[in-house]
Amino acid sequence: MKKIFYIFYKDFSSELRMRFALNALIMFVVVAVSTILFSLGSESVAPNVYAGMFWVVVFFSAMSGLSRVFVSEEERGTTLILSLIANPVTVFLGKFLFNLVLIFFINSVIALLYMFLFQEFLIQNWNSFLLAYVLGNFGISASSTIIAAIISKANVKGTLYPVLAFPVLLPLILMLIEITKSAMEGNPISDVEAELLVLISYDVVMITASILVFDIIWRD
Amino acid sequence: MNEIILRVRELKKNFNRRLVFDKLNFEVKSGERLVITGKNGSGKSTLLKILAGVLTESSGSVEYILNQKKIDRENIYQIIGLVSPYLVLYDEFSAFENLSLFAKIRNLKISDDEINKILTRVGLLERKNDLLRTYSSGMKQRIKYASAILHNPLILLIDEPTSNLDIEGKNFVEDLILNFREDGFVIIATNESQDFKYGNRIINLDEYKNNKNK
Amino acid sequence: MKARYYIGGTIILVFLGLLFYNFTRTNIEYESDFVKVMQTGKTCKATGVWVKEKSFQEDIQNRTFVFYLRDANNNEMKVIYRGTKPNNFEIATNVVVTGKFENGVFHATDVLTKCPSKYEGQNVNTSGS
Repeated sequence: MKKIFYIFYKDFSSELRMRFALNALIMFVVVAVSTILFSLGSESVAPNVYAGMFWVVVFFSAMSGLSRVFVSEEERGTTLILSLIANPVTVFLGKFLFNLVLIFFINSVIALLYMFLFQEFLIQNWNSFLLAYVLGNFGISASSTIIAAIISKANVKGTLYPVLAFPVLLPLILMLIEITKSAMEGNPISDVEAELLVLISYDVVMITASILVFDIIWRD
Repeated sequence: MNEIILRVRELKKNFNRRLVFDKLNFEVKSGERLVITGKNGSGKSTLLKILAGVLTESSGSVEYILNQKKIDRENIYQIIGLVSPYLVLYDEFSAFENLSLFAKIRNLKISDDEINKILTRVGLLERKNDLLRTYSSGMKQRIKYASAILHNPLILLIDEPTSNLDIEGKNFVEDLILNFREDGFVIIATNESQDFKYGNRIINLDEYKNNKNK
Repeated sequence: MKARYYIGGTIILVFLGLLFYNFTRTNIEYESDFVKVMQTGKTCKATGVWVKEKSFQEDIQNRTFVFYLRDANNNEMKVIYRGTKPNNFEIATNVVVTGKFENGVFHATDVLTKCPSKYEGQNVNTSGS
C-alpha cells in the first residue's frame, strides 16, 4: 500500500517540476471550452447536447494528458529503474492513482468552467451527477493507464492512443452522457439505475483486467 | 547465513527472428563471481535483464532459490541490484532525492544518514543535492551503483562495470565486487580483459549461438 | 500466482455479465400499453394512434405541441411535446413518443410518425381479399 503511494508521490513531484501532463491538459481545456462558448453565443441547447459536450472535453483531455504516465518514462529510459524497484502490480496501481488524481482535478476544472460559463448547464440531481463523475473518473483513469502502458511499448506512440482508447472508452462515455443528461433534467436516480450499474461493472472489469495483463505488457 | 542459488536451464531468447542465445545452462551459488563475456551484440545485456526479471525469456527457465525456497518472479527485485549502461535514473531529481524515493518505493527502513553513507561510498556526497541532469556520465555511473546497493541486495548484476569511471571509481567497483557479501553472488558482463580477473568462472555467450553448441 | 488469475478471471466474467445485462436494460423500451406507461414513471417510447376528434393545439411562440394518443385498449393520454408539429402528422397511422408520464400528462422529448406507404396499402388489400 505504502509502495503504491510512493510511486504516486514520485510521479506527483516529478509532475510539479516538469509539467509533462498538466500544461498540455490545461491548455486543451481552455481552448476547447472557449471554442464552445464562442460558437454557442446566446443559443440555447438541449441538455443532452451539453452532457455530450461536457464529456467530449473530458474524454479528449484524458487522451492527451493521461497517456503521459508511461510514455514519459519510456521516452526518458527510466522504465528499467522503475521495474527494478517495484513489482508490476505496484507500478500499475501507483500510475493509476496518479491518473486518478489528475482526472479528478481536470474534470473538476471542466465542470466548474461549464457551470460558470454556461447558464443552462444546470445540474438538478446532484446525486446522480456526482456518482457519474466519480465512477466515470475511475473508469477513464483505469482504461487510460492500461492503454498508456500498451502504447508506451509500441513504436507509433502518438496516433495509437485515440485508436485504442475509443472503443474501450465508448461504452463508458455513452453511459456518462445519459446519466448527466438525466441529472440535468432533474430525473430521480432510479431512472439511471441501469446506467450506474454498467459504470460500476465497467470499472471493476477494467481495473481487474488491467492488473492481470499489466505484468505481461510491462516485462516485454 | 543465507544460501542463494540461481539456476538457468535451456534459456533461449530471440527478438522476432533474430536469435540472441540458445541452450544456455548454468548455476551460480552464494560466494561465487561469474563473468559473462561475448562480442558486441552477443546478448550480455539482454541476459542480465532476463536475470533481473525485467525482460521475459523466449523459452527455458530462470529460477532463484533462497534457502531452498523458490522466489516468485515478482519479488526478485527485492534481492537484486543492477548496474547497466541502459539504466537511467530520474534526472529531474537530485542524487539524494532519487535514493530516498527508491528507498520509499521499496519500503526500506533506511535513515537519511544511511543514504548519506552510501553517497559517501560512491563519492557523491558533496553533489548530493544537485539534479542528476547536471551530472557527468561518470557521476551518473556512480549514482547507479548507489541505487543498486541501496537495499543491500544478495545479488549484484553489473553490466560494463567500469565504463566512464576514473581511477577512484574503478577502485570502488573493485572493492565492491571483491568484498561483496559472502552469502550473495556477483555476475559481471564485460569485454574488458582486466575485468576477467574478478570472476572465478567465465561464460562466453558466443558459444551459445544455436548451431555451434549442440 | 496462479490463483490470482483464477480469482481475477472470475471477477471479470461476473462483472462482464452484469455489464452486458445492464447495458441491454439502458435502451429505452417500447410500450404499447398506456396503463403501464402511466405507472412506470420511467422514460419510455409509447406507441399509439392520434385521437383525431380531439385535434391538437400548437403554440408556435412557446414551441409546444399538444395532442392526444390512444392505445389498442382505447386508453387515452395527453401528450405535450416541446417542439413544433412534425410533418405528415395528420396522415400518420402510428405515432411513437419518447418521454415520461408525469402529473397526468406525457411529456415527450421526441415524436416520430409512421406514415402509410403505398406498399403497406397493397399488403392490406391482398390480405383482405
